[in-house]
Amino acid sequence: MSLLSVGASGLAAAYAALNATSNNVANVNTPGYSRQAAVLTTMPGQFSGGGYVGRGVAVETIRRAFNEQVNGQVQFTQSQSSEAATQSQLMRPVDKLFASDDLGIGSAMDRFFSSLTQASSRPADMASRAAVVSSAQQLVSRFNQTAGQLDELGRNTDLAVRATAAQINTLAQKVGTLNNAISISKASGQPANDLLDQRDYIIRQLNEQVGVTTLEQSDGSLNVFLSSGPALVVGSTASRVTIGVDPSAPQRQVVGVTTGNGSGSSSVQIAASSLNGGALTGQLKFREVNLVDAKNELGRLATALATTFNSVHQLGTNMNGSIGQALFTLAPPQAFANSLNAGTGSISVAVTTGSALQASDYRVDYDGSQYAVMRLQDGTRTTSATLPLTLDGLTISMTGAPNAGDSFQLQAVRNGGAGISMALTDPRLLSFGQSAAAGDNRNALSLAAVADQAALGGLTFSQAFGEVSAKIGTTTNGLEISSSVADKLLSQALADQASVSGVNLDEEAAKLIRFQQAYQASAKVISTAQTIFQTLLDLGR
Amino acid sequence: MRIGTAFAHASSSALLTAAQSRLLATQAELSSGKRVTTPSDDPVNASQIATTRSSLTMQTSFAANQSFLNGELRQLESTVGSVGDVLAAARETLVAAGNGAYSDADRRSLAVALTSQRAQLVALGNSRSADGQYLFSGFQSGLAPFYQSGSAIAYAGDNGTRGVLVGPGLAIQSNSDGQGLFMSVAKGNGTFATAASATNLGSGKIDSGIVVNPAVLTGNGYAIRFTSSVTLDIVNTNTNTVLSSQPYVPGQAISVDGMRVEVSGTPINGDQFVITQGQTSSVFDALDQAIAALNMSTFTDVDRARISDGLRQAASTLEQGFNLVLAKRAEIGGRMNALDQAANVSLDREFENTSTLSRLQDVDYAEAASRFSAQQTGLQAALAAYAQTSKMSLFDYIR
Repeated sequence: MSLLSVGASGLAAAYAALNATSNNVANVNTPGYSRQAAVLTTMPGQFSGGGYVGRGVAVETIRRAFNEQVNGQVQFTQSQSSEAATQSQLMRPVDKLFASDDLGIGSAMDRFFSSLTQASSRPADMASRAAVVSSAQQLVSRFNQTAGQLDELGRNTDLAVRATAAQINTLAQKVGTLNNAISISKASGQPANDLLDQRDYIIRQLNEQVGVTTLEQSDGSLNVFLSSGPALVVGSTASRVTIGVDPSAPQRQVVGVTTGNGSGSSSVQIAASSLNGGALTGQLKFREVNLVDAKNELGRLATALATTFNSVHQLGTNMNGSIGQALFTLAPPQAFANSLNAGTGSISVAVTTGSALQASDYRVDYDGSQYAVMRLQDGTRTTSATLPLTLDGLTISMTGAPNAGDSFQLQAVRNGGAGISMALTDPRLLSFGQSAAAGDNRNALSLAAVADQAALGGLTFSQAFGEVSAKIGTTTNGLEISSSVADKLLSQALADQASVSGVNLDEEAAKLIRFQQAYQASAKVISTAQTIFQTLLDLGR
Repeated sequence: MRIGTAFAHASSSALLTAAQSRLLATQAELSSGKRVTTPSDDPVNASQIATTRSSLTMQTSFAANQSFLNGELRQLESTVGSVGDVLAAARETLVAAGNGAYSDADRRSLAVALTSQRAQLVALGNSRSADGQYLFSGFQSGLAPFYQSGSAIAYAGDNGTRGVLVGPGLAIQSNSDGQGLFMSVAKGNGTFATAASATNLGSGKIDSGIVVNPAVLTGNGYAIRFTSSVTLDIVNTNTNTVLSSQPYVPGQAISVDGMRVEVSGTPINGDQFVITQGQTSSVFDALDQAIAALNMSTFTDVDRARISDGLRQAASTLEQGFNLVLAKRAEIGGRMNALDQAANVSLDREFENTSTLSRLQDVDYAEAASRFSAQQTGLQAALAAYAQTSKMSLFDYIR
C-alpha cells in the first residue's frame, strides 16, 4: 500500500521538478526571470514496530534562486549607470558647440580681431571696413546660434524630463498593482515567484528612470522611496511625480511628488539636487548645472567682449564725424524676485566692468538689516548694509522696499549669448579715428589692440575661450569616464545576479535527464507495486 | 561561478559591440586625419589648441599688413627719391644761373625751367598710394596736401603718423609728414641764414657764411649795417646793441659770436645785411624766390647784386631741402628694415604655431594605423571565439 503512495509521491515530485526545469528552459531569455527549482522534502516517517518507515517525498515549495543583496547591488548600479549615461549623452552636443574648429566661436572671434588688424592699416578703405562689419556680424550670429542651440537642448531636456516622469508614474502604478497581488497571494502561504520576479524587474526599470530605495513590508508589499525620502509607492497606492516651477527662478524646474487626487491630494517638493541615480537625475543635473554653466560661460564671453569693444569704440570718431557710436548692443542682465516675496523690492543689475565678470548666477537675500549676495557657482557670499553694491563687474541696485526674508535671483550674463547684436551695419559708422580725418587710424589701432589685452579675468579673449573649451571638455570627458565606470559596475552586478538567478541551459539539460530518470524510476516503483498487489490477488485464486 | 546562458550571450555581444566601436573610432581618426575634434577628446590641450589657432589667424592678417606696408613704403621711398632728384636739378639750374655771362633772356628761360620743376614738386607732393590716399597729408589722407593759395603753396594736411600693425603690438609708420619735408626747410647754411636787405642801394653781396665756433652761438639775429662805404657796424638785433664797428674791406671775413661771413662788392651808407637763425621756408617759396630773381631785368650792378642774393638764398634753402630728403630716405630705409625683420619673425612664429597645432590636433598616422591593425585582429578573434562557444550545448548531445 505504502509502496504505491511512495511511488506516486516520487512520480509527483519528479514531475514537479521537471515542470520547474521546463519552465526555466522556456524562460531562458526572459529579462528579470529567476530560475526556479522544486524544493523536495522527505515525508515524516510512519512509526512501526520495525522502525520509522519512510512515506516518500513531498514538494514543499517552488523556490526561485534569488539573492536580496545581489539584487540590491543590481538596482543601485543600474540607477548610477543610467544617471551617468544620460548626463554624458546629453553633454556631447554641448561639447561639440565649443570645439575649436572653423565653425566655432573661437574662430569667429579670431576672424573679427584679424579683420580689425587689417582694417587699421587702411582706415579709409571701404572694403576693409565692410570686412570688419561682416566679421562682427558673423561673430554675433555665432553667439546667437550657439545660445539658441543651448536653449534647444534645454527644451528637449524638458520634454525628456516630462517623458521620464510619465514613465516613472506608469511604473509606480504597476508596482502598486503588483504589491496588491503579492500581498493577496501571500495569504496562500506560497511565494508568488513570477509576481516577485516581475516586481523586481519593474523596480529595476524604475531605477533606470530615477534612483529608488525599497522597504519590504510584512504583508509582502514593497514600499518604494525616492532616494531623497518621499515615498513613491506605499502598499498598493502609487504617488505621481510632477514637474513644477521654481518660485525664485521661473525658468527652473522642481520635482514634486503628489499623492491622491483633487482636494484630498498632498504634495511634497524636492530639489533636483537631492535626487540620486536614474535618467531623471541625469537630465535634471544637466539642465540645472551643465547647461546653465555653458550658457553663463557663453554669456560672459559675449558680454565682456561687447562691453570692452564698445568702451574703446565709443572714444573714436566715425566717418560722419560723430563720437560715441557703440559697436554692439547687449541684452540687459535679468533679475527675478522670488514669487513668495512679501515686500515690494525690485532689483536691477547693470554691467560696469566687462573684465571682472564671472560665469555665475547670483542670489540676493535680505534679512531686514543687510543684503547678502551669494555667487552661486562657488558659494562666495558678500554682505552689505545698503545697495547699490558693485561686485564681479556688476552694479546691483534695489528700488522699492523688500521685507526681511525676501530673496532675488540674478542672471547677469545668462542671456549674453542670445542678446548680443550689432549696433551698426554701415561701415562708415566704424569709429577708427580720434578725429574725422580720413587717414586717422588711432582708434582702429586701439580696437585691434584689444585682442592682446588681458580683457577677461586676466586672460585675452582667445585665451578665455580656450579656457571655456577646456572646462567643457573636462566636464564631458569626466562624465564619459564616470559613465563607463558605472557601466562596468552594473555589468559586474548583472554577472553576479546571473550567476545566482540566471538559467544555464546546459544545467537545465542535465536536470531534465536527472528528473526524467527519477520519473522513470518512480514509475517503475509503481509498476512493481502493481505487480506485488497482483501477486497478492493471485494468491486467493 | 555559474554562468547564466542569457547573460553570457548578452555579455559577449556587448564586448563585440565595444570592440567594433573602438575600431570605428580609429577608422574615423585615420580618415579625418584629426585626433582631436571636440574639447573632450583632449581636455588638457583644448585651451592651447584654441590659442594656437588664434595666433595663426592673426598671423595671416599681419602678413597681409606687412605686404601692404611694403608697397606703401616702396612708393614713399621712390617718391621721396624723385623729390630729391628734382631738388638737385633745381639747384643745378640755380648754380648755372649764377653765370654772370647770362643775359636776361637766358635767365628768363631758366626761370621757365624752374617753374616746371616747381610744378613737378607740387605733383610729387600730391602723390597718391594705390589706395587713392595722399602720401604726404598726415591723417588728412583724403585731401591733397599742397595747393595754390594766392601766390604761394599752402599745406592742407596735418602731421599725424599712421602706424600699421605688422606683428602683435608692433606698428610701423606707413605715411610721411609733408609739412616737415616740404614746408619747414631750414633757411641758410643749416645754422644761420644771410640776406641782403631789399632796400640796399649799393651792389654789396654777402655769402652764406660758416660756423666757426658752435659753442658761442647765441641764436640771436644780427645785422651788418654800413655806416659809410668803408665802415660797418655789427648789431645784435635781438638786444639792439651795437657789438662792434669796424672798417669794411671787400672780401674780408667778418666774425661775430661764432659765425663768419664775407661781404664783397660796393655797399653804400645805409645798406644792411641781416643774419637770422631758426627761420624756415618751404621749397616752393624758395623756388618762387629764385624764379622772381631770374625774371628781374638787369640794368645796373645793384640789380645784379639783388639777383645774385635771391639766387643764393634759394639755393641754400634747396640744399637744406635736399639734406632733409636724404635723411627721410634713410629713415624710410630704417622702416623697411624693421618691416623685413618683423616679416621674418612672423614666418618663424607661423611655422612654430603650425607645428604645435599639428602636434596637438592631428593624428599620428603610424601609431593609428598600427592601432587599427591590432584592433581589427582583436575583433576578428572575438568574433571567431563567439561563433565557436555559442555552438556548444548539451541539448545537442541528448538523444
